[in-house]
Amino acid sequence: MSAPLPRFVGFCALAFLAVGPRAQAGSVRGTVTLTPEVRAIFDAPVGHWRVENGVIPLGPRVPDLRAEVVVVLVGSSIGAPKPDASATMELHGLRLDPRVVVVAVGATVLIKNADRLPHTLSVDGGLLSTVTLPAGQTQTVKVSSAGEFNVRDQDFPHIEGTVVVAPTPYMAIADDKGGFRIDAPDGKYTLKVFFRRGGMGGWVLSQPLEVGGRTTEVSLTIPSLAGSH
Amino acid sequence: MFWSKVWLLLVIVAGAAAAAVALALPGPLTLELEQEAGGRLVRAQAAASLILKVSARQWIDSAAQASVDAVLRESLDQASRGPADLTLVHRTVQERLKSFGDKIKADLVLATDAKGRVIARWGLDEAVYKDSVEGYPVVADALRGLRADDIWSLEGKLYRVAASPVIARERYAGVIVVGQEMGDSLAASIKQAVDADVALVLRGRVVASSAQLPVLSQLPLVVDEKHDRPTAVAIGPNNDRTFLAVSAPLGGDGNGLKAALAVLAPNPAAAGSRGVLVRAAAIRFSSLPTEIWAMVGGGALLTLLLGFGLLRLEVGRPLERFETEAMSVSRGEVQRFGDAYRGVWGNIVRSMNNALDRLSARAARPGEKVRVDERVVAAVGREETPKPTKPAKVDAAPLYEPTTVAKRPPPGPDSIDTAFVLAPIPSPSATGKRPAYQDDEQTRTSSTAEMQRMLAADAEVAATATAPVPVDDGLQGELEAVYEEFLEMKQRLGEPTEGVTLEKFVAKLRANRDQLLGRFGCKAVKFQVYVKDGKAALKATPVE
Repeated sequence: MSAPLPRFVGFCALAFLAVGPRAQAGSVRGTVTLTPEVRAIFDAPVGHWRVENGVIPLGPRVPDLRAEVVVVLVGSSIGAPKPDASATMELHGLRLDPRVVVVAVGATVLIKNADRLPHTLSVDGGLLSTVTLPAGQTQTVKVSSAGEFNVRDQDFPHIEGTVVVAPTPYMAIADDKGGFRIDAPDGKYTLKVFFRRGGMGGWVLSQPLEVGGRTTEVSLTIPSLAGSH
Repeated sequence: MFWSKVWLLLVIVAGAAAAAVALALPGPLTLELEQEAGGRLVRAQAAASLILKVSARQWIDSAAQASVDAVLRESLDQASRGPADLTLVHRTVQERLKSFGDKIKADLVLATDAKGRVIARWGLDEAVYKDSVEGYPVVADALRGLRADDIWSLEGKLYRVAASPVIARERYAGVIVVGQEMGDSLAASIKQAVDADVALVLRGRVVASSAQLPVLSQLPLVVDEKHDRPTAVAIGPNNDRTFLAVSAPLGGDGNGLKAALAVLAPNPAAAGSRGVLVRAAAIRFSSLPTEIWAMVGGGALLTLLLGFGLLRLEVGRPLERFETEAMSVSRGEVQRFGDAYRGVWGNIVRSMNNALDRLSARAARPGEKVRVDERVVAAVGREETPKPTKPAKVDAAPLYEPTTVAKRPPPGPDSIDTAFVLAPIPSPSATGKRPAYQDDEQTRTSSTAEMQRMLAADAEVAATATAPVPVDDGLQGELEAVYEEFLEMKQRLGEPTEGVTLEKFVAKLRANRDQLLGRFGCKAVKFQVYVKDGKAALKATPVE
């Protein structure tokens, strides 16, 4: 019991020094809405015809288009937590699930083939040249730079997805109802929204946003896919 | 024959214009024909796409018809609710799919539960089930309650598929998908409708076509070309044949599969100039109204009739009249030809009449033995011309020597109508020099005048024999004949004749004759007309 106080004080000082001065943290919460005009683009017939059955109402699109919307905050990244090192996309039922993943630079994307058929895949930007992925196998894709990279299936053109490599750790994908939440330190940011499907769209929204200790509510509407970048 | 020449000139001009058009038109026509054929192909491609669209709706209806099958509805609903063992459901559903597939002549039919899990297949991979196909857009749509169609690629073949939701107990219990392979038979049936060859392309490979054309190997290149709208593209040549082709994507998943429907037809511009003209004529002329054809045909007929009429008027009728009169002259029914001839015929007839007049005058002298010049026989008519008697011995004396003429015995009364004695023509060789004019053409063209001159001399002799006339009278006839020949030559050469009068001409010749007689001491002087430097000229030759 000799000099317990100095030891405690020393421990506290070391702990303070180890953790360091932390910025005040806030969060951004919001919803994403697609206008009917945007939805109509994807309700067009795939072939020649697309007609209702005339007996019972139509069911919802599963998953909803909003589940493919990516929201990121671009700005300061001081004191940001390290993002997840990997994301997984699974092929099953002749579709890619999820269609969109967002990762940080340096992360790894796993593409798993859970179908009964092999798939011939490629990822734009030289991330993955054309490879045939047998049923049950997984392909690893390492991303080293920011950008948006399409995943394509040579045999089934409708199977497509996007790997968004964000230049910031503050990012999220909306859920089926368009909701999202991003925790970020206080500061000034630019909120950007990415939505791309069927070769249309991209970064469709961009607006300034200030995070100030509390939860910041935002409501985002994607009016059109034009003028995207 | 002026109007005949005008008509002939017009026909030649029209022919030359037509030939110029025929030579100049193929270039622009080639481009125009390509555009015409390309436009037709674009329309054919649109028609073919429309046929596929209508057919797709029929397949959707077929899928919808199957989706209301009670057994299928109940089975799929049961499968959607998750029975432990799907084997029995699978067999039941597959039996119904087989029955249905045979009925609608489908190549594949499959049924899924409400989650897109395949319960049974028929026609393709029949042993496989329990796998999910919910990712197919057409299946995903049907799972929401939509009926839709799409293009699938399965095992390297193209299928057009249609899906319909299965509804049981007011909820979606599954999906029925029907499909048909897009093969050669489909291409052939579309060809019958659009009147152009049809081919289906999948990922740079022709998977079906209405005909095995060599150029099909180049068709994927056309499919890969990007155009804002359907455009005809020339492909080939292959085996000396070029084609025009128009392609358009099949849509849906077909876009990603680079699947396209192409129509193609031989390129009319590659048929050569003649082919281009024939093709252009077929396109252009077939659309002309009947009135235009009537006008063109009527014009051609009128031109033809005009030509025949002019030939008849200016050649046929004068020739017939001349023949008739010539036979009358030869039979002695008339003494000379009529005066109704004009133009060239008038010149001929006047010359003939002059000759006949002189012969008549000569014939009026009885008892003279004469020899018929063969050229006269030819002119008057061989049938009526008696055989010439043995030619009288030709005196070496000059033609117009009065003493020579006076020494000739009078012709016998029995031979006066059938034979004449023509005065001998002094040979140019008598002077020891070959005349400058004596080339073949000159000799031929001067035969008529020469005959005139001989006849004139003979008439002169005859006249001298019947009644004493001054020597100069015979010379006068000779010089008049030369005058006529000279005038005729000038007219033939297009020279003016207004200033050349008979009096001046004869006076000039007499003066020359007298000068030559005195200079060479010859007995006579022969005047001959010839062409010198394109102009009529006279040559005087002393006759020994």
